[in-house]
Amino acid sequence: MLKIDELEKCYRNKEKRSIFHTTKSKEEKKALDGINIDLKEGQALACIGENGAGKSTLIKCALGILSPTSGSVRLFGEDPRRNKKYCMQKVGVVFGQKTNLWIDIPVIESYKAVKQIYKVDNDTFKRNYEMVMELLELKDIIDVPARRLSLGQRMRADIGLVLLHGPELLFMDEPTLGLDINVKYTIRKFLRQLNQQEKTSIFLTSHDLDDIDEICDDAIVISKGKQIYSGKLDELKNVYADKHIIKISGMKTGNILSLFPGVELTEKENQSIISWDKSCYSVQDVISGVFRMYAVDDIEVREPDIDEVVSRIFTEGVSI
Amino acid sequence: MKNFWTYLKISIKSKLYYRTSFILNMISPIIVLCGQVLLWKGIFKLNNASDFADMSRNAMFSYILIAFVLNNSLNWSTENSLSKDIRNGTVVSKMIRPTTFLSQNIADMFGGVLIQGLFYTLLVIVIFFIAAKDLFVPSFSNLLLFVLSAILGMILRLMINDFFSLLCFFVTGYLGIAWLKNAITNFFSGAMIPITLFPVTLKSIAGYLPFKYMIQVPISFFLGEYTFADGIKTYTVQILWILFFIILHCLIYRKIRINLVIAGG
Repeated sequence: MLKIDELEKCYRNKEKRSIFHTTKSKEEKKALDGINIDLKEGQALACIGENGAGKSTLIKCALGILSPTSGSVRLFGEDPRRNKKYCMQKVGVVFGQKTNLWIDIPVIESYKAVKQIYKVDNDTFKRNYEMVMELLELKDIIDVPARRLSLGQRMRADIGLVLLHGPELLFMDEPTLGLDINVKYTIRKFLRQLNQQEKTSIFLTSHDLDDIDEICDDAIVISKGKQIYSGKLDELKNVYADKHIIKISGMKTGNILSLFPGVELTEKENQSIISWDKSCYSVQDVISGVFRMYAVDDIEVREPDIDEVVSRIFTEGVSI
Repeated sequence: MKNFWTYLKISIKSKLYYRTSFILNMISPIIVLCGQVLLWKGIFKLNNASDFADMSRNAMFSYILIAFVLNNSLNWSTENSLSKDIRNGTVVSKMIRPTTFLSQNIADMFGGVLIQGLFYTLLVIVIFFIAAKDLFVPSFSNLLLFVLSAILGMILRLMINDFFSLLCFFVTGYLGIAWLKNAITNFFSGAMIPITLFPVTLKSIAGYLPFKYMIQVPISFFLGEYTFADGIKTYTVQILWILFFIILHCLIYRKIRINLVIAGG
């Protein structure tokens, strides 16, 4: 669906002179360097990166809005710059910070326009329209001009808009930016459903790592324009999270620290959280120790937190 | 082409949605027109003559009225909507639709031209009926020649406007470009004063520029200054200028795709 090979994108900063600023010499900035992506049908791929890492530039290159400096981009087997009409017909794009709706007219008018622009047949349009109306809860805002919608309402309407023509691949650039928890939940649930039931492929960038965790199975990590990871999201978390965490509900009958010196123990009322360095003890050993030292009501081995993983990658600059 | 009509319909609906703002936009040029008419009335009265620099009084007032329609069919807000989209980054939505960027821009501007142009045309037709004795009324054939030239002139104007709007990708503010474009086009198109009244040097400079084909040249057909033979030549030049700006659009758009930085990432 989307195949990117050795993509490189450089921006040229021209010499600038101003009364108040010193002269800046002409320089080239590499926004993307050696990016490789092979997005298959039905895949949900997350693009993780700090601010200014090149995520939006990558989407723009993938869509043919920007020309790559070198490397190749193939969208549905075509060069999106040369065959824009064909490629855009098969994709849906949401830029969280910008709307695709015509802001001065009611949302329904934008939807009708999309039907004509993408030449969507009546049955497909009706099916998709009913689906987005129900799942994105658009009934109350469909007749309101986009200009008057709140950010969350506008985003729901925007996502609805790009699905009307039945795209095979969705590009979502920060789709939950600035939204409240309810709207985020609706959007995540909807996208997950779309990916699993309709087999719509998703390319997602987000700073909200819960979005990524809930929607995507695969991930690439970009830092300063360079691709530093490409693979399963779970693997990324397992490789990167250096701690195991177990959460226990139940009465304490002994001291776990006597069995496993060095583990971190946090206790609160009837709950205890034990965390330890992966290299020290295995999960099985600690669990068996827990059953000896606690009258366990409930026990949970917590998944490594993606926030923690990403924070480590970008703050400590660890390579993968 | 079907998509063009869809974009055109959206443009018209968008412009008509906020009625008060739309009506206020329509009224302000009419006030300027009244000022222009009074000014030229004063000039003719001072000179105490029926001609001014080879232009009869009736021809001059007809010129002012037609220039008013042609010049104000595209208002400030429509003219600069692309520039504003570029500045706030929403232009990206035009780049991801399965329609060419140029046709979306032209449809967007043309929607404004249709509404505003139609309103001013009707207004001026009424004025012509009321004050026919004080105005130059063209023959039917001149009127036909004028209409064709005016349509080509309007397409040329939309293309020139598109060119200036695209320049906003390369600068930090759009107002400077917008004012510069307005000053140049108003002056060299003959919208402010007929080019025939320019000094020789300025007249020859205007001759090499495309702007006079937007207003001055179509009005010359209206006033019967150009014959049918002139028409063929003039239409050809107008079409060539339109093609020139289409090619320029493609070249600039290619350049934009190489080094584009859209506001907001």
